[in-house]
Amino acid sequence: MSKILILFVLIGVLSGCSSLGMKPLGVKPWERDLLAKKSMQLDAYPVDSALDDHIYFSKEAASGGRSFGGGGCGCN
Amino acid sequence: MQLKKLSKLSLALAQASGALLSATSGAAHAQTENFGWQIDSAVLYYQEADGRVRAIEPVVSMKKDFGDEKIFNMKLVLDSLTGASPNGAPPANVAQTFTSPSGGASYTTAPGELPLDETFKDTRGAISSSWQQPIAPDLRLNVGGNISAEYDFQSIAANAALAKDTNNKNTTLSAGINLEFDNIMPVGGAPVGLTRTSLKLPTGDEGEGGPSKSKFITDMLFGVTQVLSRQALMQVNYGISLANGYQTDPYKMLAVLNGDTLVPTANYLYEKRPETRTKHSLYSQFKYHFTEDVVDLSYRYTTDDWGISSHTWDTRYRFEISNGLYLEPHARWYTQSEADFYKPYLVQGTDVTAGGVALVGFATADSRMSAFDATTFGAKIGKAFEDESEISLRVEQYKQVSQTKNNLPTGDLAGQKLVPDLSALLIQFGYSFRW
Repeated sequence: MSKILILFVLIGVLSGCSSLGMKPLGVKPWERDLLAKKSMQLDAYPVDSALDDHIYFSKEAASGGRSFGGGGCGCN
Repeated sequence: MQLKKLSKLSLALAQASGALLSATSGAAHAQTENFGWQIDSAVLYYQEADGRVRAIEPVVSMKKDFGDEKIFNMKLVLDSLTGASPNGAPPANVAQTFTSPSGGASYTTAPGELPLDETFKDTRGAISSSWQQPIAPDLRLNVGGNISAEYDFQSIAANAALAKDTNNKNTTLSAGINLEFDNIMPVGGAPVGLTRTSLKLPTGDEGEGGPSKSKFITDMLFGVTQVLSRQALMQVNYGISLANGYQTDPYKMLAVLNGDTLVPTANYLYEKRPETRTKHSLYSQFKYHFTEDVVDLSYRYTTDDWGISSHTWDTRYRFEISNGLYLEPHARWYTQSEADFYKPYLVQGTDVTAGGVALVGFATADSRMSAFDATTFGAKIGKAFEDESEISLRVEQYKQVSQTKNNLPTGDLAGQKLVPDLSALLIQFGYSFRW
């Protein structure tokens, strides 16, 4: 549990290091051409990922992580 | 013109970041000048080997972008399930006869076969909706809800999430909460946990048994999305889930072994799980754009107070072939440990008395609570057209390999695979278009 928190804080510090005077991670607005493509979205195909989440929720003990689930199921 | 292009691009990124907290708002498209409806539809066919569960699941998701980062999303899912579901008893060297959950029928499982409840049949309908809008500069609110119903189960949930852009929209911090209420009405009533299956007598909502049960789940998710370079993006989420209420599977039982002999099936016990469960998850995802192709890597760790930990690695590589045609192989590895109270069967004298009184507080033989490894291998092929429509076909194979060992040298369970492996085929057709 503590490892999780440390990693989480580390990422937060890394991404916000501009406040420490370091060069911030990221790009200028005119460098977002590739990031704006559909294939570069974190959840580019939400219907696919929701169907997958539902299958794995029904068959495995772990679930979630990426987003909230879509309304549970009896899944017997 | 240049300004318009810039705002268009930053909007797309902001939407990508916002996708973290809403499974239904994730399709952030670069094309925001057309404010029509974006329709994503799909049909999933899921078939488990050996005549187990078969599902056919059509989905329609509708998204309308009203501009200024105001986005409405609605999704309908129908889920038709047929086939047979394991009842919790292991395969044995002798035949086992069971009574169906409704009490009206019985079925016999031949030696060497996995006991399956053949009456398993269900149809689930679900509707979900969400609305996103900015509420302050670089701050977006997303609210949503969903309702899902099947004949023995209903679920209603509401969620809200905030996403804050900082560092010239290169960093997005988000936090969200989801509240879910589930109502379970088992066929034949909810049995009293860890009592003999022959004693199933629903007794109203008092105590453990009864016609109707419920649970309440609170989920919270906190995330950071970070643009690393023109070609790279990553996200890290931490999630916590608190569930309280009826989490037992009312249709599952545990066999009882007396020495090396199974007791009569009427003396098997219904399973019972704790009323509370706290789960933690850590999820990270990384995407990288090569000259044309895109790689997507993710890892998830979960742990809970039932003793189950899991690791999931997922990788996709999208080959851009030509003119919008793409091929995306996919591989997923999953492994989980067993719940503290998982038992493939109960032992008379240790777990239960000869009179059928449980000596353990909780027990389940549900294979989903056991230790196993799982893999998914497959590929998706798709074609995006000039008019922003897209067709796709996805084929995947899912396999579970049990890690539960059988150490019984003699008797009714000797030589049997206590938790048979699972294999399933997934085929999905997808069609998206602007309307």
